Amino acid sequence: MIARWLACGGMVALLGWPLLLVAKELPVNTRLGGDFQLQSTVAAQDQLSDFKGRLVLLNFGYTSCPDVCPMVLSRMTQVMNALEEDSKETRARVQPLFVTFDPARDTVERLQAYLQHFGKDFIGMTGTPEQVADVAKRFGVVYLPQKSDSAAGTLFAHSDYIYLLDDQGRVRALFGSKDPIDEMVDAVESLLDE
Amino acid sequence: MLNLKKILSVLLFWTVAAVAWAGSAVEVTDGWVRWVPPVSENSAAYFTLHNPTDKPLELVSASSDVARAVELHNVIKTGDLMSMQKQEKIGISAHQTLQFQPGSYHVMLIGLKKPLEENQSVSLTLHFADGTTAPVSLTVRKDAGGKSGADEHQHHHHH
Ligand SMILES: [Cu+2]
Repeated sequence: MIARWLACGGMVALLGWPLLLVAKELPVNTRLGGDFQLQSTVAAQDQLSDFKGRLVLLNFGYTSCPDVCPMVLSRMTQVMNALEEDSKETRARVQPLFVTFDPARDTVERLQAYLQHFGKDFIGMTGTPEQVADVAKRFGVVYLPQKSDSAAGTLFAHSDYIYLLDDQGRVRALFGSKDPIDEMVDAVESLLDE
Repeated sequence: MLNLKKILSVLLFWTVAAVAWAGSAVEVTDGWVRWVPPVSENSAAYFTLHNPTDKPLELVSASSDVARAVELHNVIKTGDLMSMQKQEKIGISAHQTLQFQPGSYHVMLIGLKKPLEENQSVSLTLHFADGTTAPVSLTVRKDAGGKSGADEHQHHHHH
């Protein structure tokens, strides 16, 4: 009997831990982020603060990238689809956002044509090279055009994090390409429950 | 006319024989090509390459009709930076299995002649340093691991 009670207590402690950890693991990142305004595929929503009240899943990349960027974008799609499995309303509380660092090739039209295949609610942003560089810098995004003899033209060496922003536009989590989708969904849901 | 037919059949025989002769011993499995939105002119092919022989092999190039250029690439991760680099050759030692997968080795299809259709099959030929080749047929898919893309998503109805 005592053993059973102990086991139960142990279970409660074990179950309690991850919840506490999740809450503690998403502190506001004060070094990264900040509001920005760019050219958007949805003209009425061209500023980060336009998404206030909703969470944002933000990623930086370029559409001519054939391997890493579509992989990261389809990870965003998987997270969004998992949220939709809960309900359409849950999905609507999170805005997927893609900012290009290749404005020379990525026009608003091209971003629109590209992103709609990852989800109808995906928004893309571009701007002048200076504007894009400024936003990237604020999020700690590094992108370097590479010297390459590839027929693909300019390729970028770049970081590939997905940023989870809370309903105030503050950076709360960064996800690398090895982080499981489930963990990302859990993090999003824990912010939705805040 | 008869002569021409005869010459053609002899030619065909030797062509088939030559192809069989040049066939590589490598085993290619789980091949797929990433479906990309029609505005995107580049894509990538992935597969598992196994060298069952006792000798090392060197993959030196790949070719396909679907793209203007086909290159061997690898993604190198340095700190936080992912960079895609063209490879002159990719070695596969004896009995080794090499994964071509997103974020790693891939065959890059540059300048797609036509947008890729889902489930379309793409022919690719791998060329090895010893002169052998391996023809592969790959299926165009939305994403790795059979995970659904945006358009494939099943809607759940709540009543
Ligand atoms: Cu590549």
